[in-house]
Amino acid sequence: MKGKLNVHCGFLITLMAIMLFLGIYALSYEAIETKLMPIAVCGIGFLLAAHELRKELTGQEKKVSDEVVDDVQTNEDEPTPIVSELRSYVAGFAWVIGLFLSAYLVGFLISTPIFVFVYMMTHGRTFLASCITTVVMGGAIYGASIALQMYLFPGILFGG
Amino acid sequence: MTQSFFNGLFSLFHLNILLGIAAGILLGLVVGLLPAIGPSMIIVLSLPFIFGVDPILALPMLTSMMAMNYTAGAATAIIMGIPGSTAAVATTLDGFPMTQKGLGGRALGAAFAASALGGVGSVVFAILMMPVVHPIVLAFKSAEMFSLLLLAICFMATVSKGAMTKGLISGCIGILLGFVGFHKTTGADRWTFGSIYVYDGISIVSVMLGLFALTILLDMRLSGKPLAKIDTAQAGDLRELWEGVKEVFRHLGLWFRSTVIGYIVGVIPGIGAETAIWVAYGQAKMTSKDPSSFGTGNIEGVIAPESADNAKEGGALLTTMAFGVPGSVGMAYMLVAFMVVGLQPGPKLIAEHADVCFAILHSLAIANIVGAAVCFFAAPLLLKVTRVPPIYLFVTIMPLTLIGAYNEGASLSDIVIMLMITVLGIFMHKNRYPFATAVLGYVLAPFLELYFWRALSLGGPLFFLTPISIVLILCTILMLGNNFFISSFKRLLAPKGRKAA
Repeated sequence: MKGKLNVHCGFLITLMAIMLFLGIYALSYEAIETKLMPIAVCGIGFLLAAHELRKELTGQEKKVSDEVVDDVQTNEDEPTPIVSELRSYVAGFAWVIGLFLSAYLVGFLISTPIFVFVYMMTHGRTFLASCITTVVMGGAIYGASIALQMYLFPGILFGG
Repeated sequence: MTQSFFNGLFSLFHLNILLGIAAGILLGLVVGLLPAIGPSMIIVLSLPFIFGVDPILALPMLTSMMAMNYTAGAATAIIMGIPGSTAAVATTLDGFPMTQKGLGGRALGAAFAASALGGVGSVVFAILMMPVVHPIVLAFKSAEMFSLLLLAICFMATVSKGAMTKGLISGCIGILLGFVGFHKTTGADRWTFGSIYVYDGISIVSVMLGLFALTILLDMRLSGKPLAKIDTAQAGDLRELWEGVKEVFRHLGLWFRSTVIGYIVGVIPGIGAETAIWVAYGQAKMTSKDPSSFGTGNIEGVIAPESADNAKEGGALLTTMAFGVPGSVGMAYMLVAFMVVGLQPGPKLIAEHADVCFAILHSLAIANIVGAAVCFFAAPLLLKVTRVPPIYLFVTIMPLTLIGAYNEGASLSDIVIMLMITVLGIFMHKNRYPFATAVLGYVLAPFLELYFWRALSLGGPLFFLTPISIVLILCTILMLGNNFFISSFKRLLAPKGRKAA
């Protein structure tokens, strides 16, 4: 059975495009010492990605990955389709971005407890458990910043 | 050497260093019980916090953490059938059936004792090898080092199961990340696109946290399953645990053979923990009086992999320190830790910082003994850690990765780079591209280039035609062509009728 275009193919095509771009960009460097290794690695990477893409499109890759999945997930439920998994990753990643943006605005010392509390409340934890975790986490970060003399970004609203 | 041996030993006996080792042991134990978080993860998370810390404090702490992670990894393998690390997979085969038979305590005791003795045994071998290693290291000039680094990256790529091409692509990605920034020899900037921020290259902590920690955390959040599904209360009876310890002394020959196997496999760069434990498990089965009982709860099937698992770290540590080439996947991350505290592993390290090298080896032995003792007495309590829901791990570790990335350079740009690398990491992880090869490529890229140009200028275009270099390049070719050679060989041996069909 022939393979078809999927997320892995998209990843490989993007990778090949990046390798090609970086390789061509490296050609503009003057000294041979600067450009030889980058061009060589980009070339090798491009060829390997092309080979992997060929395997994926001809269906060989599917066989190999299925065997690996069988080995790794023998006791687990049916594997989730990769697209829906990626959607869940996007949701998780949105939380990371959210924490980053709030840290940018109000600093780590304020944003971290807020993140912990909101995340736990929106994920079905009780108010008490959320409060305790928030206090413990906030205290731990504050304590660590004092003990290890770490400078934590105070946020642009508070003079960062 | 003798003086360095004692200097290294005595340097550990300071309160802050002993506390550091104790903290490493404790963290390693707790993390070892969480199947989602391996030894590499805890080292990665520690990296931002060891900048500027004295190597004699930071490195023994990390070594202890890693050693204990392997010891504790056996607990979940035996009690729940979930290996705490990939290295504990073989232990699961006989350890878990023993728990099902009501002999979990005995299996745990044997695993802890075998781990401790295996770890100590490998440190003894490593210390004995130290004087021998130095002349060997001196035989490695630029050409040999280039061939060795190439071999290490390819070795690491082949460890990735059933996907060598993916491993090699990972290696290329890592090398390209390592090339970004100011080129030391010519002064040119590579792929900075005018940004001053990346002139010094992409931050090592951003790469590690983005590619590894954050990606794994998001994956753990996605699974959302509790780590432990069965009751773990039955394990932890001290009398049974002691019986397990005695079993190791009844099988001293097996322990010795497995330790030697683990040590030798650890010395060879990039072969991986899995190789050591499976070779040890295989020889245990071959030499056993009752090989048919393997897989159904034979104590020898616990002792052999656990001895080899901890023994490989001594060998891997020696290779990492002496050649700057990691002997195992975990050591690839330790290599980064060495650089973060200002030490460059390689031929000069043993000559110039022999006392630090000995201190690290001593700390590995201490961590193995103390850690096994702690595991022994605290087994029932520690097993409760496995019941922590992933949500708590996500909300506590995720902010730490952001703070860690910021903490290194006090710049929010480090976090942005980390997030970009996380996106790459997610795609790599979902498509089973190994991170370890990428990290190794990233770390070794500048040295690969440096040794290449140095060897070329000293030896000309045929610089690789030295005996050691030829052997190393042949090994690389053989390893990369392994599958091709095997399939060709099978085709040759296949009956003609089948060929025609």
